[in-house]
Amino acid sequence: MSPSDDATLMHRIARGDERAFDRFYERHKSTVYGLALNMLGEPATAEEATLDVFVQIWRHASEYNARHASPRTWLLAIARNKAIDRLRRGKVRPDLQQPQWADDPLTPLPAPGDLETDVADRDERRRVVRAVRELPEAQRQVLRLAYFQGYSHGQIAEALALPLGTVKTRIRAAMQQLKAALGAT
Amino acid sequence: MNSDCEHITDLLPSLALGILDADERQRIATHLAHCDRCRSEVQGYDAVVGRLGLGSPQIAPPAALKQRLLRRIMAPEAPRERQPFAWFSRLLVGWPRLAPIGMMAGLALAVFLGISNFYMWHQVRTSGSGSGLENVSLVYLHPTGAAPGASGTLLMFKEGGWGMLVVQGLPALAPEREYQLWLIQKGQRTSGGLFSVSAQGEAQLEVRSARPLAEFEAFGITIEPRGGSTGPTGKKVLGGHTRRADA
Repeated sequence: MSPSDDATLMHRIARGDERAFDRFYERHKSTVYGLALNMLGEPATAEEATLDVFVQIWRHASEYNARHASPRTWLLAIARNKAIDRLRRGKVRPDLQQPQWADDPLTPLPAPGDLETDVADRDERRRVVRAVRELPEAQRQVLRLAYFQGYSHGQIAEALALPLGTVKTRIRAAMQQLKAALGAT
Repeated sequence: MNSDCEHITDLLPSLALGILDADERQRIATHLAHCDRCRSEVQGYDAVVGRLGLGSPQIAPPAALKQRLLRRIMAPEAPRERQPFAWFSRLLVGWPRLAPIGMMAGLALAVFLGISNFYMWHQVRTSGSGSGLENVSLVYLHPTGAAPGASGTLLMFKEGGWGMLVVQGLPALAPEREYQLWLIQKGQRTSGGLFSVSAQGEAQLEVRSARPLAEFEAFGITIEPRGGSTGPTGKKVLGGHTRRADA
């Protein structure tokens, strides 16, 4: 989606514009719910997490600062944090399923009015998936536990029966490779 | 790059992923406050983390979820969900309004030490008479116009550089911003640590200082870029003076 369009919507939401909020929800609901369901495993809990995310957007849109992140980055950070909060509070069983990055992030139909930006959006998603897929499996494994489950170094080491130093090394190597692949400066 | 960087760079990706414990975060924050290179590197990792969620499968939620969302945002704000330590935070933050103070102080101190540091509790219990409260002091932090509903309490040992900050009512910040505690003495401000608040606006921060905290004249909290600043650059949200400074 166009970051500038999203930023405009955020400003309107901050002023209490319900139509802007509706459009923002329609644009991003599948991204947020998909991430929450992937992390939490249970549809009911993922729905609650999704509600938490968008309620926070509605009530705190004025705190969004365009200089620091795109609205979608902010939204994803909130969504991940809400899901990890629920995981850490033990509200879901962590063994329901292993969260994964998509093999191919096929998206649902774009929201009306967003057709023109959908191609670019799909392209960006595919870049992320490709970059993650190109990581060695050992690195992807530790990154998955860190990103989707918020595991600390110690928790990852225990879960995978690895030395702590190995965990840190693999996370750093994975993140360096992703940074290069995604062109993050 | 200075010699500290070698020990810090391994942890920067994990900082961006938000999986470090408080001690590691504190150590990195201290370093980032004066290292542009590492701060820049963290920003690069932040950008990666910010996009990783795009690789998760997109799944349309049930259509009924939108109606539930609309009902929720139209409704008055729900009571705060119980958080770990939230009841304790409220006890400390609401302390000035509670009585009898001595009893509540003892209770709060016992709870506080019981959950955070048994060894120090033992030291307090065995260091003198009664509850050991003579070794402890509190500083209440009052809100500025930037966060009118906020409040905070800093509990500290008079002779040590260790304490606990508890805040509530602070607005949640964008991922790129953090709250930073400042320890103030003769106009000089030293970072006392960085923290973020829960969705309910609450946080606890373990504060460590090379000097006894009670020697500082005042304490303040400002909004800073993630990783902290060498001196306050953002809006001040809370502040308070020690009794010694008030005298």
